[in-house]
Amino acid sequence: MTRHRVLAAVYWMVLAAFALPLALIALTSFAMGDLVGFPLGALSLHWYRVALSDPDYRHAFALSVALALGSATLAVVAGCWIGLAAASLRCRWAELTLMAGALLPLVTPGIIHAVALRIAIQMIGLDPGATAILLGHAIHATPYAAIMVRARRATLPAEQVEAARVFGAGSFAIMFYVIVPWLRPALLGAGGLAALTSFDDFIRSFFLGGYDPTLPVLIFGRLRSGLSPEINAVSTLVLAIMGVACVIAAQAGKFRTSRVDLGI
Amino acid sequence: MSGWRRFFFLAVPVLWVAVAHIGPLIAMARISLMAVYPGPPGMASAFSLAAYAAFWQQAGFRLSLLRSIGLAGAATFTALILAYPIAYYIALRVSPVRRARRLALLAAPFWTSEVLRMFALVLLLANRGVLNAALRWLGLSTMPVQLLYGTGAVLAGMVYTVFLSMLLPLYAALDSLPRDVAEAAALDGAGPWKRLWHITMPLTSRGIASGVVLTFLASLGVFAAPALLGGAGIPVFAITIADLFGAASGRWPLGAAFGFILLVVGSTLAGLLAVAVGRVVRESSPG
Repeated sequence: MTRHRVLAAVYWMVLAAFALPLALIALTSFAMGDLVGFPLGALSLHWYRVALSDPDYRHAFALSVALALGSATLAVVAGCWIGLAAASLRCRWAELTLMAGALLPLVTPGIIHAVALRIAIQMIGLDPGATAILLGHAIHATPYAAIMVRARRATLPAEQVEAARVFGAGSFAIMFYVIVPWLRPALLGAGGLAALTSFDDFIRSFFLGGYDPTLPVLIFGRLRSGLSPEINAVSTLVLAIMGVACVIAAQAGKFRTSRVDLGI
Repeated sequence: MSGWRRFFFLAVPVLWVAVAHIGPLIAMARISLMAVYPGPPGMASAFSLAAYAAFWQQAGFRLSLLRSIGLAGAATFTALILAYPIAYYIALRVSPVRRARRLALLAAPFWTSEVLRMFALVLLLANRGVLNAALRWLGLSTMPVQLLYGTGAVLAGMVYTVFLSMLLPLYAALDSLPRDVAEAAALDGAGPWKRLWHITMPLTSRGIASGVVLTFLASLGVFAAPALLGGAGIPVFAITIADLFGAASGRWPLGAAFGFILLVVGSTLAGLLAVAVGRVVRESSPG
């Protein structure tokens, strides 16, 4: 059983390596001093007061939340439609081609995708700003919804559709009373994942944003102009919100960890 | 479904994929072939290969691409070495009840923004950071050791950004491994390393290949890690591209060409890497 122990030790060490740096953010956020660094010195909530009274952070947070909700909605509709269309294709090659195209934004390296989107909005005459970011985030999250819906659709027993048809349901009724309810877990999972990737996204927001930054872009900008301690307080609040959201999602039983749900 | 309804049902997703997924990449390729963009309104720009010629002529650009490829390769390899034993442990050594929880726990740090993760690394590696404080406390150094703003820091940042795209395909592959094969080999007297190299890894070669491809491509596109941890000394290709889209927007065609070059070179290398990994791993299989 020693091999088991070695593997377990590797697991916990790597987990610590990934999680402890984030804990550092929280720890340093309670330091009093103007300079971020160790040793910490006296502890206080001073920087939380500074951060919460800074309108830039409030605006960026509101924008990030709005973009997360809006882009997730758009991505779920687009991805669901793609997944259902792919499932309905008789020709296997046509289905593979459609799904490959649907997955493209997921595998395109971040910087390339951001730059390509920046050029595309310029070409259609859209200025950088919230609308551009919304579209960019929706496009980036569409593949998740397409994969999850496609996988879930494949598990729908054909008899259910047949039965509905025998009882006289038309194609619209079958879609909205049989298929979409069956897809519910996939739609919720994809929506949550899309909202999360939008809220976290930096590279697309950075290139598509106008004068109003999203929260990650604002934090990036402040980090580049030197470590100012209120960043720690803001980041800690974001981490706390994420943590609470994770716990709620887990409690709701939607925290299923198949590869599809985690976004591959 | 009647004819036009079926057409509508299929046309919308096909259009979305064509316009929103493929369109921007085509737009990027088109701009890369223009002399000027964005040009004066109402004027079509002349066709030009100047951007590609510039890449060919200036060694600095080529060096920056090579640096990106090298770093992405190193990040992919590091992620593979770290993720394989962990995925193996979760999929094959943790009881089924706990499996999902262990995986979610390890994935949790990656639910945060990459900017926050890079910030965390800054706090760890900075001159006044935790590691330097620890070194001083242990009496190992009196002067701060420069850990930030170097290749090592960027590499660590890249792994910290892309690790999940290695872990999840590996976990999926190991989770669907037929367990009785390894047991049969163990009964035949094969040792643990032999079983790993001749049975487990060949059977999961497709998972390894897809993890390598996804991680390599993601690493090539990482921008926050080199921007926050790299300092001025090591501009990777992502930084080079981003700079060309900065305030002085006259150099968009160059940036677009570099994006296109990165896309073509990156996906070609990723494909070759997948084939190579698949071959190495499969050749180790006994039959």
